[in-house]
Amino acid sequence: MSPRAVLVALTIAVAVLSVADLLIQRMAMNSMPEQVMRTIESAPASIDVLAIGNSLIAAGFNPSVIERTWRESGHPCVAVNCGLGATGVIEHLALARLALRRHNVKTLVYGFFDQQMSSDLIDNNSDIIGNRNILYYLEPQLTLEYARFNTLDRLSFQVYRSSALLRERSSIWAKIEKLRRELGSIGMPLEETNQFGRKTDFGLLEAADSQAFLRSCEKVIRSNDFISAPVQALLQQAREHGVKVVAVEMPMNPQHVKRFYDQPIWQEFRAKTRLAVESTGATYMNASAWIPEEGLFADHLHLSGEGAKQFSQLLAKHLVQQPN
Amino acid sequence: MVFNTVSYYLLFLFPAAIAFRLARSSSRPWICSFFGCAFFVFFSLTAVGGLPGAFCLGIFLWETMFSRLYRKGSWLCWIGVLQSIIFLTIFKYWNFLTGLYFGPPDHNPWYWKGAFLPLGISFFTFEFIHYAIDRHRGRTEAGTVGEYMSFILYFPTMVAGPVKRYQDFLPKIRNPEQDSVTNWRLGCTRILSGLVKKFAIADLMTAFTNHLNQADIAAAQRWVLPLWLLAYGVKIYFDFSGYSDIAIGSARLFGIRVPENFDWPYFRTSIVSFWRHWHISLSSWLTDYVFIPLGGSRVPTGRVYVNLFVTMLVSGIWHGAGLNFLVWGGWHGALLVLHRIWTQRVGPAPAERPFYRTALCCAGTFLWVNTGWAFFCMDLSTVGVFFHRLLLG
Amino acid sequence: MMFQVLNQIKVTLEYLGGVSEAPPLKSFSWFRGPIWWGIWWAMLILLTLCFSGQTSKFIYIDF
Repeated sequence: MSPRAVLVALTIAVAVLSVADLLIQRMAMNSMPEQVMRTIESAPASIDVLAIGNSLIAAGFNPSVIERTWRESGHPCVAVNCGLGATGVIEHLALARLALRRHNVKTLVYGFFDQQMSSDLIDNNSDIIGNRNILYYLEPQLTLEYARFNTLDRLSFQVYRSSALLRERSSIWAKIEKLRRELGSIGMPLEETNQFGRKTDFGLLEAADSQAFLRSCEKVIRSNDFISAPVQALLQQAREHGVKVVAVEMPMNPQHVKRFYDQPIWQEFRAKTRLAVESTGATYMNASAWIPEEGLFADHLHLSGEGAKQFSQLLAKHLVQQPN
Repeated sequence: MVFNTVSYYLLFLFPAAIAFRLARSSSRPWICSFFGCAFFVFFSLTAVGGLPGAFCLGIFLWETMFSRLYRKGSWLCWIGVLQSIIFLTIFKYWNFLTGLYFGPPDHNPWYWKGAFLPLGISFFTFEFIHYAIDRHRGRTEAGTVGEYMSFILYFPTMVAGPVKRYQDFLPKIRNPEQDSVTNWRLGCTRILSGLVKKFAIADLMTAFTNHLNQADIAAAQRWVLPLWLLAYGVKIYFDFSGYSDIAIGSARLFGIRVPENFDWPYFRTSIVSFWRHWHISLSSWLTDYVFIPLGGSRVPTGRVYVNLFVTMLVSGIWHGAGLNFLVWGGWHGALLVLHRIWTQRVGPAPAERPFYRTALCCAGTFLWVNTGWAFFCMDLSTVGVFFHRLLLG
Repeated sequence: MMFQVLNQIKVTLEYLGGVSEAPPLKSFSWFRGPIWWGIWWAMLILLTLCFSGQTSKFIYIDF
């Protein structure tokens, strides 16, 4: 092939990739982050209870139960669930800011578990997969401000932002992962799954053992860094908008409580985290033991549908009793 | 894994290939050497071995200096061979060998807790040994310091081969192919094909091969076990030939052709033919530096069988520090011996034969080879569980 | 006949994979064209991109 022909071939390759990029961009318009952003944008101008967090909130916060419970107490209510699975504190800040910009929010419920509020930061651009890719298009400057990027990561973050193929790569990868799981399940006993994936996988989000949990608590206590910068910004900016913020320690599977929360170190950690939260003017609500039945959990961490209803009812009662 | 990183292409391959093309001919070996050093240090720090791994660059520098002492017939060449074997033994086989005597790590006072493998040690030590022996035999010239450094530090083939020969490499580094457009077109196509083989086929097969452990073997339905082993055979071929494609394609960007490593090995009609077309550079190295020095085929028949078997044991242990790898090598050694006995009894295969007979021979060869992969991918106790479950339920 | 067919497939795959320089058959002249090569390269890149995430640890597949 002559040099000219190679140049033509390269041009054709770039054109095909551009078309693929456009197609992916179109297909990504209905991704989970886009859906959550649309939920916020299409919500009424005034929101009584807005829930922000990861999959624990996405699974555990039932807006219709919240609204019904408040109505039964004589208070009308608009509740919106903006929980987004597999996300971290920077994404939560970005979603909270989106809601606060466009709506009049009265109460913001921020759900968390374990040491989530003190950690969960992004170290590499390669960490931004799955629903975390919302960081590429929703206030990307927050990521550059709060993520622990080196120069190469900052550069690759900007490059990835510019191409749907790179931004949405994990959506494609997820389909391949589903194919792999299908292939892997051939000839094997069926694995239990829920809305988020395989049940047993969520054990990996817990500490490896009680010693590892103890070490991670001690590390935070030594550093005195109980609330990471993005969470501090979220709590502060919500207060500046006149929003009542409630940081909710989410209901935990009784096995998780027995394994990790019965340690004295956790009581100390919780007490200091409560102080740190309350020093920002927010309220700390310990709901970790609200659902003591293991059958009301879908896996190691997430509430089942019935568990979510019970939790939401209890949460609504607590919120409606709190002074404004 | 190095070839799947953006750093490999943006920091090393493209800049090095372009600099190589633009440089004067006297500078080209130094370009290869410089980028090879940087490559070794970078990927040691980020992927394999960390800081201690990076310091192993000293092995290359030592080898470069020591190799200047090689002469035809000199005993120093054998010192060079011994050095390479010592490096390989210490880094790759120390814990295995001491473990054979003392037992598990808890009981092994000589267990090296922080053991690591310098990047590409299995390959570069073989290139050191080849050079030392061929210099001893007078089969290759010394070349300049820069040329030898560029040979041992040539980063496209550093991590996973092909195992090069100095006398093939030297004319190519002195006079690389000038048709840049064709070389870049074919090189890039080869690299992309290698990446697709690795990701789209080999990695997909891990959906099956991840199950090759005792717990999953016990839990699975029996009929799926051969499927998993077949998937491993597919995976290892596409994985390794994919790496080779990327290495060969990368070298092509420099205008340098390195040896082919795979030539449709699963479509060969005998185990001998399989080994002539699977990991070709390693097979020919083992033939020239193990089989032939042992006597090759020019010894009594019984000795030939022993030579074949020992050569394959060396191949097995080279692939991994474990008894299962020795058994795998022994499996192939036994197959080669049996094939030799068979051929001597019934004569060589006819040149022309019906398609169905060729297909049967291919299928039979594939079956034997694929069965052998069980020893390659599982430890011996798991292999026992696997075959027990497969054959007896 | 089967040998010829298989050999043709082998030669074609080697050409597509960048192993050999000559196209498999004179009648496959469009294989030599830049348009085909452009599309082929784009497909290889897309395949690599689609399948390259398998070392990523997916716990959640709800997106």
